[in-house]
Order: sequence, then structure tokens, then C-alpha cells
Amino acid sequence: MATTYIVDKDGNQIDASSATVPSDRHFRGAWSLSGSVISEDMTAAKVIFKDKIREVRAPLLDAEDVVYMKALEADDADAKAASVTKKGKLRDAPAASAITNADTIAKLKAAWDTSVLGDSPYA
Amino acid sequence: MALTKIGKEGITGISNSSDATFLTVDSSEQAVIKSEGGAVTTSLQQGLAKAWVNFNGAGTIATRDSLGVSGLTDTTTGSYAVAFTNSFANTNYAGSAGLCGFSDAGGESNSPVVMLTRSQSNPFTTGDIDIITAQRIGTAISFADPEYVAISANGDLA
Repeated sequence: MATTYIVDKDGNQIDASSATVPSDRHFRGAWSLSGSVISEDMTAAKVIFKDKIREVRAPLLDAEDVVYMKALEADDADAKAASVTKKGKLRDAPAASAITNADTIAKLKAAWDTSVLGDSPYA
Repeated sequence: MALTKIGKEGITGISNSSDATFLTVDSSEQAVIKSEGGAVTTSLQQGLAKAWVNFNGAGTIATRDSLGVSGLTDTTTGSYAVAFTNSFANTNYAGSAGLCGFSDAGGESNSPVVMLTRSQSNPFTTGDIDIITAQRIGTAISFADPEYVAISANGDLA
């Protein structure tokens, strides 16, 4: 049977059979090897987390553009304001303080704002 | 089945009960067999998959079964390298890959994407294949780890 190797974010390699690895691969690109233990580098994990937010929010922003245009056509001030607020929250989502302050992977996953972004991919 | 001749030039014919030769091995040890319909012959070596592997690309990366594969490397999300036990003679071999089974939202109803890659000019080296896997959800494509990845390589071994 073929030997399996794991390479971390810095290119360090270890035989998978002798390594301790994180329990899931959500932040695989942030894996960092120290001795025989692989753990997630929080700085790199936050970059991955923010990229996922940007990926998820893209279609939501597109949809909100439609909502805003309809409100504009209807000259509905309340609907326009609501849409502007929602788009603002989507734009600000990657800059949330909960992400900045997260010092564990569990806290980072919990920083996913379901009220703005919908279901968490980390649930 | 009868072996008709073995000489220094090789086995020149192995025939069945109807005296029809179905296998010939020449002096350079190249085996030629009859086609299923018997109308033509085909190279036995050329037709063999020289390496193949089926592995779990999600969770803990693990090989399910393989032939001619010495190592599997988990490079990062949706990125793996498959090392061959025996190197190919050149980089003109044919590698192919398939995948399925993403755990992310949408799962198999969304489009899996697999690419054999080393560089834009040639995806293969004689010793290994690098592959990347991704998932398209809606209009977004992102690297992802599929549960099932299968790779095979046909060509000339060194």
C-alpha cells in the first residue's frame, strides 16, 4: 500500500501515519507542522475564513443589487435603506471583530454570522 | 492450448485448440495478443495501466487500493501528488482522474472539477502526477477535498 504524506503550508512534509492531525480539514491550507503534530495556524486560518465569507457573500450581494433596483424603481425609501444596510453588513462581514479576536479554531468557526451570511459551512 | 515454439528469438506463438495464435512474445520481450474479434493484434504492454490508485481525499487521506503507486501526498486543500513506484520512460504518458463526494453544501449535485497539473506546459513528470480538485457551487469554484479520487496512468515505463 502506498505511503501517505502530508505537506503543511510551509512545505514541510511528514508521513501521515506518524503525525497528529487536526480533526477536520476546513482550514487545511493553514496546517502547520511542529515536530509530529500538525495544528492550524490562526493567522492563515483567518485568511481562509475571510476568503470563504467573500465566496459566500458574492451571490448574496448580487441578489441584493436586484432588491435595491426594485426598490429604486418603486421609489420605496424604506426598502432602499434596508437593502443598503444589508449590503453594508455583507461588505463588512470579513472585518468582524469576532474574527480578529478569535484565538482558537472553535471561536473562529463561531464567528460566522449566520444572520448575514446564512448557514455556516463550518457547522 | 498449446505452446508452439520457444527459441532464442522468443515465444513465437501460443495457440488455442484451433491452432490460432493468440499470444506472441518477441525477442525484445514485447507481448502481442489477438484482439477480441481476432482481426488484429495489439500490444499487451501498451494496453496495461501502469499505475492506478483509489483514495479518500477527505478527512484523513487514505489509499483504498492501488497498483504501481509508492506514495500519496496531501499537499493542501484539493491538492494531491501521486508518486509512481516505477518511473515512466517519458512525460508523454496519459494520466486520467475522476472524483466525487464533496461534503460541502450542495454535495454531489454541484459540479466537481479535477485537473491534472504540474505546470501549464506539461502536467506530468516521469515520477509523479499532481492533481487539484475543486467544487463549483453556483458560480463560485473553490478547492475542495472529495471523498473519492481515482487516478490511472497509461504509457511506457522506463
